[in-house]
Amino acid sequence: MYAEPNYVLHALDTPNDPSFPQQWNLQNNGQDGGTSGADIHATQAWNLTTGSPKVVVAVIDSGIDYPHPDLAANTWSNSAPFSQTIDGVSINCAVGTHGYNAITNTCDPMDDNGHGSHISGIIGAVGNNGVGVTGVNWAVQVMACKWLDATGAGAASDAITCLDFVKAMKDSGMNIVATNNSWGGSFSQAMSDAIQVQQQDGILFIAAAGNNFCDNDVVAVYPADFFLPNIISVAATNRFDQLAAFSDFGPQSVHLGASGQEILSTTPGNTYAVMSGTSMAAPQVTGVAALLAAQDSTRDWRALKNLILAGGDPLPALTQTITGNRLDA
Amino acid sequence: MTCSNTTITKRLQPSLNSVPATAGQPLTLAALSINCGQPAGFESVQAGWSLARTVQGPVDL
Repeated sequence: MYAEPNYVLHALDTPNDPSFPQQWNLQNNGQDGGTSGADIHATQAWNLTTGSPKVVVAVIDSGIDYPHPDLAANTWSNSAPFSQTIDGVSINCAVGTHGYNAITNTCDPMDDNGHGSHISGIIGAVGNNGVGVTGVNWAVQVMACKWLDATGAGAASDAITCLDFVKAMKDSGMNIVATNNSWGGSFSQAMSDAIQVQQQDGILFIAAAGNNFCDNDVVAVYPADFFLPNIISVAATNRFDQLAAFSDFGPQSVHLGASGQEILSTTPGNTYAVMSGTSMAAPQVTGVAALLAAQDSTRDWRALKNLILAGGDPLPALTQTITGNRLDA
Repeated sequence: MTCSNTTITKRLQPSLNSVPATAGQPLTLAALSINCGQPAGFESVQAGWSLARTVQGPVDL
């Protein structure tokens, strides 16, 4: 004989978005032949928080398809006109704009490539709205800064302009906790300096490790390989919790892995697409940084980074990273 | 988000196990030492040295 409390049990929070079952990166039940549990454990995190519109993340990429039905509500929109001087250029943005375009020096970061919209959806496609997919955050504000053009290429100076824009907005009082940087190229001292300024402003810089299956300890990829404390460099894993065949790695340079192969997310024109790359892995980390900030607004960039690194799941496939961990929300 | 007493300690720099160094030149040492969201304290450093000798031409050893 025994007696025990009759606890009330709850289902782990799952959203009603119709394509959620295809988002193995958030909840992997072995669908499509994958390995059950090889995911970032988003549903467990959602029992604690599903995000907050008070948290802002900046996507420095090809822009965002801000009218997209699964992005619009979570796209940052300025509530009052503002003026900033960025790199000596004075900009005046009207009410209701969504970021900055460093190519045209305008306030319109409309995506003409698709890469930035896909990343934005991974971080913050509106969750539980009965439409399409969900982001790591059901609610968040995604601010876009466009510097990659329609072909997916851009000038390093325009990326730095985006970092300067983010700094200006942070300094004006916006709660920007992280930037997502799913791009790479050559060393630039000016870019390193701009990322250091982000650190001084308390902003995490989350970067894709690269897609050449290279050891970044030996062949550096920037900005992921700048040795700066606010950077998190992210490798990609697949639905089997293996290092993706294309992913860069680095025992002393790549911090952790995150789901980055065959990722379903939003694309321009009210569409959805599957993409692969460390470009898709980095925003999983950016999304979790936003969740952690939503859970406890007193956490600074150091606490967010430490929790992301220490809170991951150790994987045999990720021994060639600093932590050996795959992201665990 | 539920991290509890999980520590990570890892050398970050130098990135390679063996690095060339010159007397009088600084060498950056860096390590990650955390416990969930918090720093986990200082790490001690032990340096080992091996000298490489460069010779030119035939020599008897």
